Amino acid sequence: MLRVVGLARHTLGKEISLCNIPTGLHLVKNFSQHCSEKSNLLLPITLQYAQARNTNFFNRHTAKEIWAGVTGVSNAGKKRGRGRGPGKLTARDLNRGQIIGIGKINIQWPGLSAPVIRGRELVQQTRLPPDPDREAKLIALRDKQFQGKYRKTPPLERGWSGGKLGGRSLGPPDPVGENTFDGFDTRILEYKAVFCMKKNSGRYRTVSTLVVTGNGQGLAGFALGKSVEGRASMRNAKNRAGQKLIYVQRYKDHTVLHDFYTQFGKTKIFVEKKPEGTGLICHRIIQEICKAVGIKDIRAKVEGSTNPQAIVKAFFLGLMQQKSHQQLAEEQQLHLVEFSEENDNYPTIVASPSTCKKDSSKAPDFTEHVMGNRVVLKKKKFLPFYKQIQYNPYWPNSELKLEKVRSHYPTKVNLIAEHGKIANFLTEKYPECQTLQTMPPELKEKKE
Amino acid sequence: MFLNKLLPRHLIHAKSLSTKTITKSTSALFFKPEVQELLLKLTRIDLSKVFRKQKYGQELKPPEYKFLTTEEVEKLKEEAYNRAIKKMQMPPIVPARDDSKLEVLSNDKELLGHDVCKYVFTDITFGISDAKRIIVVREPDGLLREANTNERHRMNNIYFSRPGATYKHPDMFEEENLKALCDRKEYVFILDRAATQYEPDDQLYHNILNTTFTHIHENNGFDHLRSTRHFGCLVFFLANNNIIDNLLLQNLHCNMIEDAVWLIKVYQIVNPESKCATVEHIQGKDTEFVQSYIDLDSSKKDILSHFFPSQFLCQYNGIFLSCG
Repeated sequence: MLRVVGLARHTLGKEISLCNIPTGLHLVKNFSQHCSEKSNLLLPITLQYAQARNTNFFNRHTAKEIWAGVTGVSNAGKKRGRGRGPGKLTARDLNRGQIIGIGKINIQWPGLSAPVIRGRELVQQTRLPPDPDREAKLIALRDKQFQGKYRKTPPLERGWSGGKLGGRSLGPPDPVGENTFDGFDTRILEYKAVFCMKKNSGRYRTVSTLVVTGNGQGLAGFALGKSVEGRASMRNAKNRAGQKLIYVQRYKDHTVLHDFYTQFGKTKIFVEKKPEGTGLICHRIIQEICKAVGIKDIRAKVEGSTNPQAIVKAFFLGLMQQKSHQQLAEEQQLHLVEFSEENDNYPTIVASPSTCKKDSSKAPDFTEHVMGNRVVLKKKKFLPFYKQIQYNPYWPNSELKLEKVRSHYPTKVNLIAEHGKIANFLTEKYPECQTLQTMPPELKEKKE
Repeated sequence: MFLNKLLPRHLIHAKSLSTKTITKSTSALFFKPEVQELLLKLTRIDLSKVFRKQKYGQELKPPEYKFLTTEEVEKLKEEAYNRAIKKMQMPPIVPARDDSKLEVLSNDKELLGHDVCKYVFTDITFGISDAKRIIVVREPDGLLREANTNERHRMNNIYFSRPGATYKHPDMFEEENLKALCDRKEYVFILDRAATQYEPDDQLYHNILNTTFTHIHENNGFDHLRSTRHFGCLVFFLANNNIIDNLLLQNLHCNMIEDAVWLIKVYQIVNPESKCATVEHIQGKDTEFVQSYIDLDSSKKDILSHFFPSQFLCQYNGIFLSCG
């Protein structure tokens, strides 16, 4: 229907142009040349009117408005959470890649899509051979804008959790004059926005960052930095931490000197010395501090408040208040003797006082002494519910049932380690009695 | 393939060594109190080595601390020394069990062909030692005999397994592996494992000992065994095979004249027919005693006398200092 109307318009338009230009002889000439086959056009024709609708839904509205109709969500819908999440519709720019003057039919328009003069010649309007890939290129270009930009951060640089900044590295503090912080690394412990009310500007936002910096060899410091901007607050905190370094003594460069108890505000920390290879069994903030100081093996329990700033202060206090072996021996006027199970409990004197007492009956217990007479609560370990007879009276039976299979797995492993497969003294005689994986190929074929 | 693992393949390798077999009389010499005393003295207990850090895969614990007076520390150290002496108890040297002369208990011809396999009967009464446990084998031809060493080991391991001892012969005692271990100077590891795995009257144990001790002797690895329970066995092995010269040379080299005297004393007891056996040691005349051995019995007279006695203290002063 539209097509027919279009044709009618075409013919009508031509008639009108002829009428409007009385001295357009060359045009008539051209026209007659152009339509030489249809010479009947020059004959008088009867005018036919047809209704033409030049406006429609798509050209009455802007693209933005039309897209809003597709992607928009009503206020009621928004409250229900519509238009969010992975199935969310987004507006597309369908004009992307389209240039005025270049279209489906490949025509060279001088002054629009081509220069007017090329060399000394005037460029003519010409039709070029069609470009078959044009459509595909346009679609590819249009789709490209919807592939989201995904910047992958290496796992070790991602921090503690998600996209939060806690646990991320900031590198060494900035050098002061000629002094550089070689081997230092800074970690963010807390990153948050804080607010205060001001007379003129009202609710005033500031970013506060708590960091710890250290070289992993006993030298470490922490500081709080604030600024309106996040980056600036991180930089402030990092550089302030570099100015507040303290040295912490370590036992054989891997753990704390002794067990200790430490407290700041409502935060209480019980720290235990651990043998090599234990790792850091503690709160993630304490872990980061330990890494900065160079402590590798420790167990710490935080009781009470877990406010990051309080934890940092409590732990640093504890580290600073440790006593060296020599100090402890000197305080008690007695030898400090180490008993290690790996050495079959051979008594090794680790520190001797300048003058030694003759009587050790009043000497305190070492652990109690260093813990400040505090005893760590060790909770009783309960059996899992399925092993408790009041919940599962059949548990002893299940144990009995498992008795005959409990050594299967280690036996299997031993056999594989020794023979490369599960085999016994009858395997050579009866090779067909084994799993398909270990069976010789010819037997395997037969069996299959 | 499977059964081969149970039967030690390397029985051959120690046969090639020209070492003396342990007889009942040599074993008796080893247990003599004076020999034991001398061997313990020669071990030279060094507490820092006896109580060295040993990691056997156990869970590590943080060290414990105590505040003690000087007296208490001394007392504890003395206790530790006594414990060290107990730790230095040497694995016994006894003659190997002879599997070619197994006692036949009965020969019941009427049972011939009763089954295709052997029947092993083990007395599993509680409280009997592995060495004395009665284990007998009924052969398919009706013969009822004592079990051989290998069968005894397997049965004992099944019913009364000891920690560290495996049912099968460990690969590390195969000839090529053992040599590689010796080349890496893992002598203490080899000897400890062998003592755990085998009974002292096992021929395999004797073979492993012979191979290891020969390697130590040839490579002068005596220091690796000093302050361990195996040093006494090593000295006894050397004395029994008349090859104490290398150890003596090392003793003289490191200015350990006392050790040299003890070593020669052990040699005299183990070899009563030797020429120097009659020479008596007089208190304070160590050099003369050692000299007499060198003159009479040593096979490396040239080298030893080169070191001993006159030039000994002046010419090689530098070496002594470096040897400590």
